[in-house]
Amino acid sequence: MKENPTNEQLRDTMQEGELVKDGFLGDDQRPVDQIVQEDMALLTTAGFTAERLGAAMRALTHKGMAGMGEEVDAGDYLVKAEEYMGLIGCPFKDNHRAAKRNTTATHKATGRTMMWTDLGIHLIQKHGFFQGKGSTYRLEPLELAAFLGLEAE
Amino acid sequence: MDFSVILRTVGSLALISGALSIIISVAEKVLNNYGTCELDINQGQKKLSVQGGSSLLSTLAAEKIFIPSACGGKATCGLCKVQVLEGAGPLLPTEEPYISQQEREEHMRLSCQIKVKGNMRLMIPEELFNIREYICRVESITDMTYDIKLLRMKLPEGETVTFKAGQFMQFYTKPYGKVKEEVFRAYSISSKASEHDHIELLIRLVPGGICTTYVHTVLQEADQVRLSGPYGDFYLRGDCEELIMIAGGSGLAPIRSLVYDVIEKGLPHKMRFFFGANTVRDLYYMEEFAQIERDYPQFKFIPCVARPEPQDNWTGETGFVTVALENQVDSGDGKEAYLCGSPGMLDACIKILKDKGFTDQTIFYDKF
Amino acid sequence: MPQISPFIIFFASIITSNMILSNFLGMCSYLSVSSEYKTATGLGMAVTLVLVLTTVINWAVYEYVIVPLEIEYLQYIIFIMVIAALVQILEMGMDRYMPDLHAKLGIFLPLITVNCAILGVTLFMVIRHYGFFQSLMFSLGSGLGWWLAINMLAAIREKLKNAKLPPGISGAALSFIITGIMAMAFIGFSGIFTIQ
Repeated sequence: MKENPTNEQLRDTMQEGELVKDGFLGDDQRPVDQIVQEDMALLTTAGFTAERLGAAMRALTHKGMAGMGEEVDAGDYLVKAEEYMGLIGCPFKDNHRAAKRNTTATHKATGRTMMWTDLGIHLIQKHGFFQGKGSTYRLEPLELAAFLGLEAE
Repeated sequence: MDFSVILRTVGSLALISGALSIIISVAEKVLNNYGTCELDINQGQKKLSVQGGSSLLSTLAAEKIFIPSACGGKATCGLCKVQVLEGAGPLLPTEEPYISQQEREEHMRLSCQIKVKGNMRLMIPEELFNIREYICRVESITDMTYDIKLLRMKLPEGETVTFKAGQFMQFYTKPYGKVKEEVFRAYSISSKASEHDHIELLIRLVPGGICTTYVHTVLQEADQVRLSGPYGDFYLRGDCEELIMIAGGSGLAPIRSLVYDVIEKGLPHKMRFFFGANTVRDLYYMEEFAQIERDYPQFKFIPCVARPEPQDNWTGETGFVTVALENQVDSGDGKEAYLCGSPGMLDACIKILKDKGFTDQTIFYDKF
Repeated sequence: MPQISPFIIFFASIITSNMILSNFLGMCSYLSVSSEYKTATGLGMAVTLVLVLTTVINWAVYEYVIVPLEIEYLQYIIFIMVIAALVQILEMGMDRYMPDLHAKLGIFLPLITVNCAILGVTLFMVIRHYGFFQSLMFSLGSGLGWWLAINMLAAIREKLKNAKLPPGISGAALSFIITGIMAMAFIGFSGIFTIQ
């Protein structure tokens, strides 16, 4: 099937070595809007919204930021937010520039660890994009929802 | 089959495809040839004759006028704005998210998106004319900490660079590995402004960073590198008695340059430099700043370590740089603050400084 | 050959003989570019524009080149070449004189060159022996009909973005189901006018 040209442009910007070294797509061959659709379908069917996930991630990152790069005890989680200088533009070209910040959160009870960036939060919250399968920062929507301890609505 | 049918088939197909290709090539000659275009910069101050058809950003770069940009024409950073008074055509959909209503009225445009298609009238800030391109040789790459490298580069014989302490350069990588195109990123200059034939940059490895990975793993001594600059309005104002300097990580770079500038020019300003690090192994240039402190009583160096280990025998400030700032700076009167570091640290420090009476006019930091 | 009024052809090609919903032509771009209303509008506009231009030019090519030379058996090749050349020139011309329109539609033009609705309309025109005005109104109507269909699908898909769906149905499968239902709804119009 023909690919939507806006998708093609997105795919180009998300390629390895364009905005970030490893790209946003991993080895995922699906068009970007299909990745978004399929993840969002899973998520909404399970009773979550990307908006809520993003907000919960951001809240954890904010708690982690108090540690300025050190691990912080944030209730059920241990959170570490590492920062680097500079800003990175969103590949969807919406004039959002995110801080280069890496959040690593560990759920104390289960020992599970998840990792995301500020740009990653924006991609999920505003574009429903959980990144391509096989990429460094890919998060499975339902695993993320469970990790964040959200209740289905 | 009749021979004439074959002839007619081949003949008419050849004729029609020939006619179509002639039409296309004529159209291309007429429509795609923008000819020579006149660029009028700053109301006739500078006039350029350029070949039309490329983006304004690359056309200007070919004429050695470098507009600061961070993404390299991908329309994701929105930094390459230029005031185009005439000849840019209507605002493009790709520009829309980046141009505010006020900027629209001022005719600001994204220079990487608009094409030069005819004569144009532009306004470009004077200081951008000072920006040049330098092909340097890497003289040394030194490990300052486990993730920060000092890159010292020598300019070609006979060339010099003049910059204000605190400004930054753009560093261009060559394609490597999966990076297919040249990429550039901005780094503050850490060397002395009085040293005109060398440029030093401090580069911290960013996970997934295209440019920092290049510097940390690919670049070798004696390699050629391309730089452009100097850029930025982060430099000494000095309209005060004391300078409060705050840095974390590789943010030390422009502060080092600033400190040497004040000392070498013999300026009377008192200086206090708060340098934040998480652990002792994140500290560097310690001996050098300690020496400056001994030689020049006007300068005070305050390294802060958030979490020193017992075996480090750390005797300096313990805790975040914000704590030291809160305790040691009483008010913003007669002071200017110069900050460089990660966005979270900047935000936290700016909040404290504003509580102490610093204002937007007395706090300076780079926004890239 | 019955002379149908061009205006009847115009309305019929939007409603009863819709390129997508009754002829199922131009499906690939219809399905892949319908996830967003805004881009769907862009593509619809571009298809309409290219349809009208190519049909009119192909009509002239047919009447004044193909028929006199008696090379009807070559019409497919010739029509395709004309469409490809025209889209190329159109893109260059747009880039030069209408940069904002080019920024909106330009990315769709290469996609349109191989859109079967474009060739389909030209071929229908030949088969049905349309005159100039009939061809003009037919192409305009077909373009608008195509535009209407893709906008409807895009609007519905946007509405369904946050809907709870059975797993496995999202994406292409859902688009086909929606299109099928829309096509069935359009059957309700049949009988108002008939042109095929």
